[in-house]
Amino acid sequence: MVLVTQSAAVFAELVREHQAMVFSIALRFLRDRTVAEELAQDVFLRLYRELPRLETPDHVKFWLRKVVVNRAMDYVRSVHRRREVALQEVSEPTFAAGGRDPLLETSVRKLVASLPNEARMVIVLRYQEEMEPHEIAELLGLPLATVKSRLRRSLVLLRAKAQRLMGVPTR
Amino acid sequence: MKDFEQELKRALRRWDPPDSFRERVLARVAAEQQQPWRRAVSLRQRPMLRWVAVAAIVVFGAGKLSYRAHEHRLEEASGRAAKQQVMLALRITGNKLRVAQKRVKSVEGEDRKVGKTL
Repeated sequence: MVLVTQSAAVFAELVREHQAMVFSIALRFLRDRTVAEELAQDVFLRLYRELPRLETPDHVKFWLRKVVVNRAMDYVRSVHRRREVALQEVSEPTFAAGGRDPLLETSVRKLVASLPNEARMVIVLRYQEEMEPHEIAELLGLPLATVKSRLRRSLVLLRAKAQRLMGVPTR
Repeated sequence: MKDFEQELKRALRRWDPPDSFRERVLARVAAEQQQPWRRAVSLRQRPMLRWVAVAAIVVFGAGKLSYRAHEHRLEEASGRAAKQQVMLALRITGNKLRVAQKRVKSVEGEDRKVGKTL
């Protein structure tokens, strides 16, 4: 059953639906808006070519996540000296804070950005994309135990850093 | 901070791409449809193609080396054949010279006998 046809309208709708997901994963990982946008465009261009082989909307979403994750990881590995862009240089989401603590959120983002590549990707997929550990394991091609252990260790590390940075006990 | 994981979720909300992002993607797709040859992406972008290219170079190099070795063997065989022909020619010439020398000696011997009898 082919639910997705390669028509411009369908493709445009897919871009609209998934652009924030693809762009956010790329930007969260690469921390460079220009590179992230370029990479996200490449991913959608590949999606257009791949559409005839993708049969369901879930398959499209999985494929997009997998490709953007792999491309971002490859990019970071290929760059010898990674450009460090402070997160405050990256423009924040456009929606209002709504009673949240923007300073705290910025600090948490900085802490996540300080994690090693693999750990950062697992955290981004878990808390930005709200994926379950078994979905992350399937996407990254890792054993479930590895994903769970990376999540656990990253959380412990982030909590400890947050406590040191903000002096606030976390649980 | 009541729940650190909730805080993470809040902090890691998705970002919206620039407003013109979708238009730029669609423009690239349209450009690619008009110029399909542009789809021939660089080897750098396709690791699989890179390995195919490396394999092709290795196979081509090995073929060239093998062909050179074959040519060298042919040249050696042809040199050996020429050498054998020269040796044969020398042997034949040597034999003929020996025969001629024998005849000359026998004629000289006859001449000396005739001289004595005279």
